[in-house]
Amino acid sequence: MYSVSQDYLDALDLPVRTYKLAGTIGGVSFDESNVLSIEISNQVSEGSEIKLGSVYIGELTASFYGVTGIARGSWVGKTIVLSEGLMLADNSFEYVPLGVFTIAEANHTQEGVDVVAYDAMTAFDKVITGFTMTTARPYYLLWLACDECNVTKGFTQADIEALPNGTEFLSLYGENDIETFRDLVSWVAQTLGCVATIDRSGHLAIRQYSMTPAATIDETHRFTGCQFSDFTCKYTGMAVVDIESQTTVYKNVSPDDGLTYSLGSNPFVQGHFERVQTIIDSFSDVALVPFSAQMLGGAIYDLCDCLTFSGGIADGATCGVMGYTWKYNGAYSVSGYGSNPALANAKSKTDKSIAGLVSTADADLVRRYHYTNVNGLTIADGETKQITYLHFFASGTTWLAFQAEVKHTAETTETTSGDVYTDRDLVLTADIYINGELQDYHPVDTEDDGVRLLHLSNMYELQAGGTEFEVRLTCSGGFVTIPAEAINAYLFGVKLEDPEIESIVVQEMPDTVTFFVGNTFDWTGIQVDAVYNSGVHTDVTAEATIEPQAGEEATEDMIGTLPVEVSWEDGDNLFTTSFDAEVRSLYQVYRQNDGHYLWSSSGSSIDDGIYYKEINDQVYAFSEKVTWASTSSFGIALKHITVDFDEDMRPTTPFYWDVSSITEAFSFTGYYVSQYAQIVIDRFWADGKWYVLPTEKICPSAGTLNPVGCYDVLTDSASYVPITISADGLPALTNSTITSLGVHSDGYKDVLQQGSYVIFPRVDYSYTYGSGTASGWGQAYMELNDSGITLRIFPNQQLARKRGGDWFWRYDEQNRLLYSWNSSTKVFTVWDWTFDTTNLLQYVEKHSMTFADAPTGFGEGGFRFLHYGGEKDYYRVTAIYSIGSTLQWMYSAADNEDFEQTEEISHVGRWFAPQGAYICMELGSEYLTNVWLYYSKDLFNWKKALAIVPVAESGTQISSIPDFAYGEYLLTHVYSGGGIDIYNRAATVVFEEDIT
Amino acid sequence: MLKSYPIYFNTTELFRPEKWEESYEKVQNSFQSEAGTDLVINVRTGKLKVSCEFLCKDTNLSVFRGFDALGSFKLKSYDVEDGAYRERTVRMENLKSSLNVHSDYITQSNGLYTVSFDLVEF
Repeated sequence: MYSVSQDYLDALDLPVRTYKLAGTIGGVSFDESNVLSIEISNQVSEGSEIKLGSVYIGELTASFYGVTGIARGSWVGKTIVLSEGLMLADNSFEYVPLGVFTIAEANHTQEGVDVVAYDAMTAFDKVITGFTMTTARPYYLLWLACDECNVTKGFTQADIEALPNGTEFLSLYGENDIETFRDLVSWVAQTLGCVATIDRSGHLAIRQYSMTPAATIDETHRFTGCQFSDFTCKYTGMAVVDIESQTTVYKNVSPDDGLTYSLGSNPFVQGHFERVQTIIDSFSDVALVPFSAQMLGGAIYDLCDCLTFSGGIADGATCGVMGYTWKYNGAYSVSGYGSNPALANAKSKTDKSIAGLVSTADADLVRRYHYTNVNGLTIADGETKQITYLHFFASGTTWLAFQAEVKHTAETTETTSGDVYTDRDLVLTADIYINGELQDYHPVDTEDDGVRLLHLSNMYELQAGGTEFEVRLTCSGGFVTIPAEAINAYLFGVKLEDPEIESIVVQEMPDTVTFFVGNTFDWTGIQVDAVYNSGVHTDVTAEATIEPQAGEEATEDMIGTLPVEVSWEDGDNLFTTSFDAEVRSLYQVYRQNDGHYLWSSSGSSIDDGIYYKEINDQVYAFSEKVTWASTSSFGIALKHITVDFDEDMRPTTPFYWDVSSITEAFSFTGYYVSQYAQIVIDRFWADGKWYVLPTEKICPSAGTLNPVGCYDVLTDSASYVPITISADGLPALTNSTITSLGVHSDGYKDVLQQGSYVIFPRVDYSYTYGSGTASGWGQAYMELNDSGITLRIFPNQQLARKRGGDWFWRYDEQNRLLYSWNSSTKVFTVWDWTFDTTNLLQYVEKHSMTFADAPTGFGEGGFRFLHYGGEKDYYRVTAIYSIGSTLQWMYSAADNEDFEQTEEISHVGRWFAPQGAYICMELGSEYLTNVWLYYSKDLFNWKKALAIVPVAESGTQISSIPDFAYGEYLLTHVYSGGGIDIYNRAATVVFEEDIT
Repeated sequence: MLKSYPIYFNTTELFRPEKWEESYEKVQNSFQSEAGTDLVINVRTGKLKVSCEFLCKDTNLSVFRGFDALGSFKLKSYDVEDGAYRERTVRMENLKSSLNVHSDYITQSNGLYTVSFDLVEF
C-alpha cells in the first residue's frame, strides 16, 4: 500500500470525497480540467488463478482536452506521469502517484485526444542478444534486464536476497525458452516466488503476495455488487517439468491438501529442484479468497496487497489484490483470483500419479556398484584399515547383495626364542559397517604365508535413504599386502540410485574471518564439502573457488559484513554457498585484551597523524599528540561533544567520533618541561583537515621554557581558536588581553583530567587592562566545548579533585607536602611542617605507617583526612583511611612519632568515602568544638557539612543544625589533643544531599 | 453590484438587466454502498447558471441573438466570493423575446423587447 498521511486516511473514511488530477505529458502539465476521461488498469493474474512470475503491462487510457504545448503528431512516445489528489479536511489536497506510462497510441477526435499508454513493462519486450549463458544471483539477473532495457530497479539487492531462492546462483544456458528480457524477468520472479510489476514510480518491482492486511474495508466503503468466493485458494504442492528426463518433479508441504501450482519448465530450477521446495514452502503461506470489489477512489492499494473485507457479505474475507481498474471520479475496482482446492485436487493428484509412475519404473531397475582400490596398501599386525567404501541412495526399503574378492599376500609373524621357533597363523577379520553401524557378519580367515584370496559375501536389508557401505580389515599375527586393483567389491540391489551432489557446505570455517582494510584475505583452514543426497560429504576444498580470492586485498568499500561466495563446479552443475566475513576499518587498531577500554599511547598513526582506537566496538579518534594513561602528557581532542571521564580517565559514556564528518576539533598537549606544565594548542581541525600551527609557537623543550612563545599561540590564533578566560574579581580576559598564561611549577603534578575538564591547581596569568597590567594565580579548570576553550580561574578557591594512580598527596596552602601515599612501599606519611619565623627556616617531621596491604581507599577516591590535634605542645596526628567498606584510623601516640596505633572503627554505618565526594576537614577551633567538613560532588561548589560532636561527650552544645540536612553519616572518632580532651569522640556529619 | 460592475459578454458591455438570478450547481457521481449508504464523489461545485431578463430595443435583441448563435462566450460578471470580476465560459440557452405592447410607437425604434435567457457555465 502506498504510504499516505493519517489525514489522507481520515479523508478516505468519509462518504463524500473530492479529487483532483495532476500530471504531465512529455513534461507539459495538465490537470483534471484537461481530462475528459482517464482510466488505469493493471494485474498480476490473467483472471482465474493466483500466478507467480507474471509480468503484466499496466495500461492507461485517457481522453485529453485542451492540453496545449504538444504538437500534433508528437503524442506517441511521450511519457504520462499521473497523480490523484484527495481533498483533506483542511481543503488541501494530498496527491498519490498513479504511475508512469508511455503513449503507444494517440487519436485526435472531436472531443479531444484519445491515448493508450503502457507502463515500462513493455521495455522488457526486448530480445536477448549478446549472451546465451550466464550464471548469477537473481538480483544481478534482474539488474541485467533493467540495465539492458533502461528500466529503473525498484528494489535493492537486500530486498531480493531476502526472498526465497534470493541468494541462489541461477544459471541460464543456451537451451531454454527465454527469448526476451520479459521472459527472463518472469522466470526469475517465479523462482523467487514473486510477481513482477511496474510500480507507481515506473520502476520494476518484485513482489510477494502479502498475508498482512494493508487495510480493512467495510460494507459502507465498498459499492453494492461485490463478490467473494466461498473458498480460500491456497497451494500446497508445486510441480515443474524436468526437461532432461521429461518427467514431472513434485514438491509439497504437509499436509498436502491444497492446489498444485505448475511452474512449467522454469529453467532456473532445472537440476536444482530443491528450489521448488523453497518456493512452495513460502508460497503455501498464501491463502486468499477470490473476490471482486468496487469502491471510491484513493488508489493507494498496490498489486499483491492483502485486504480484509469486513461486514456485509464479506464476512472478514482476506483477499489479495491481483488486478485493479481505476477510473477518475469513478469506481476503483480491485480483484483477486484463485481456484477451489476441492475441485482442483483431481488434476493435481493425476500429476502426482504420473510422477509416481516414473519413480516406480526407476525402482524396478537392478543397479550394481563396484569398488576397486587404486593404490596398494599394507595392513600391519594389529592394524585395521578400510578396504572398501561405497555410498549410494536407497529410494525405499530393499535388499543389498554384497560380494568382494581381495587378493593379497600374507606374511605371518615368525619368532625364535632360544630353541623354540614359533610360526603363528595370520588372522584376517572383516567388519562391515553400514552407515557407521557394525554389522553382525564378521568373516574371519586364517592364513599361512603366501598369496591368498579373501572372499566376502552377504545380504543386507537397507532402509530408504543415503547409505554408506564400508569394509574394514583387521590383521593379526602378521601383515598383508594388497596390490592396487586387487580389491573388487560389488553391491547389487533394486531401488538403488546413484548419489547426487545436492549442495556444498563450508564444513570448517577459515582460521579467521575478520580482516582489516589493507589486509589480504586468507582462507587457510577452510574446508568445503560437497554433500550428496545420500548424506555423504566429500572434501572439495582444493577445487572450490572462493570470492574474494585469497590474496585479494580488503578495501574500504568492503567494510562491514562481507558475504564470501564459495562455488564448486561438478561438470555442468555449479554449486554455491557462502559465509560471512567481516572487514573492519584500519582504524580499529587497538583493544585491550580484557575487553575493557584503556587509553594507551600504542595506537597506530594513520591518516595524517590521527590515532584511531577501537574501544568497546566503537572507533575513537584522537590527535596524534594525545597519549593516555601516561604520566608524561595528557590531552584531549573533541568535536562538539563533552565527554565525561572517570578517575581512570575512561569515558563514562561511549562516544563515537565519525571522522568523515569532523568539522571542528582541537588538540591539546600537556608537556612537563622541567617542573613546568604548559598548555599548548598545536593544531586545530577545520574544513575537514588538521591545521598545524607554526612550530615556533609550540611549547619549547625542556630547559628552554619560553612562555611567551607558547602564549602567542593563544593571542595569534584568535581567528582559529576562541579563548576566553574568566576569573572571579578580574576583568574579562580575552585573547587580546592575556599576556601570559601557564601552570605554576609547584603544582604541576596535580594537573589532571577530571570529567570533561582539565584541572590546574595553580595557574599563573598576567593580563592587560586599559593602560595597566596585572597578574595573579589561582586554581583553574579548562573546559572544551562547542564554542571553543574556556579557562576558568578561581583565585581563592580550592577545586574538588579526584586522585588516581599510585600516589596520593596533598599540599597545604603554602604548597608544602602534607601527606603522601606510596603504593610501592605501602607507606603512608604525614609531613609535619613548622616555620621558624625567627630564622626564616622550615622544618619538617614525618610520621609514617607501613601497611601490609594497601588500603583500598588510597588512590581510589577513598576518604582520607588528617587532623592535627590541638596546639603544638599537645600535638597528635590522626589519619583515617578505608579498606573496603571498613573505616580505620591511626594516630601517633606521642609527638614526633610514627603512627603506632591503628584501630578498626567498628561503628561505621556505611562506606564513608563515596566516590565523587571530596572531603577535607577544618576545625572550628584548636580545641575542636566543631568539625567542619567540606565536600563536593563535582568540580567545584564546595559545600559545607557540620560534624557535630555529641553533647554528652564533648560537653559543648551545638546550638543549631543547618538546614541542609540530608541523612546522617557517621564521621567517627575525630581525635583531638589540646586543651580539651575529647579522645575517642564520635561525631555525626550531616550532609545536605546524597553525595554518593 | 451591477452598477459598479457592469456585465460583459466577451468584450461587449451590457446595460443593466431587469432580472439577474444566479444558481450554483453541484456535479456529483453517486454510488450506493453495500450497506445502502451513499458514496459520493464531488466532481465539481459552483457550476453557475444565470436566469436573466433585459428590456431593450430591437438592436440589442439582435446582439443577444448573436451571442445565442455562438457555441460559447465569455461571461465577465461580479462574483461575490471573489469580490471582483470573474470570467467564465458559458453558453446561452432558452432565449426568449417579447415585444412590449405599443412600444413600437416609440420614436426611432422598432419597439421595446423583454428578452430572457439562461446562461449555463461549462
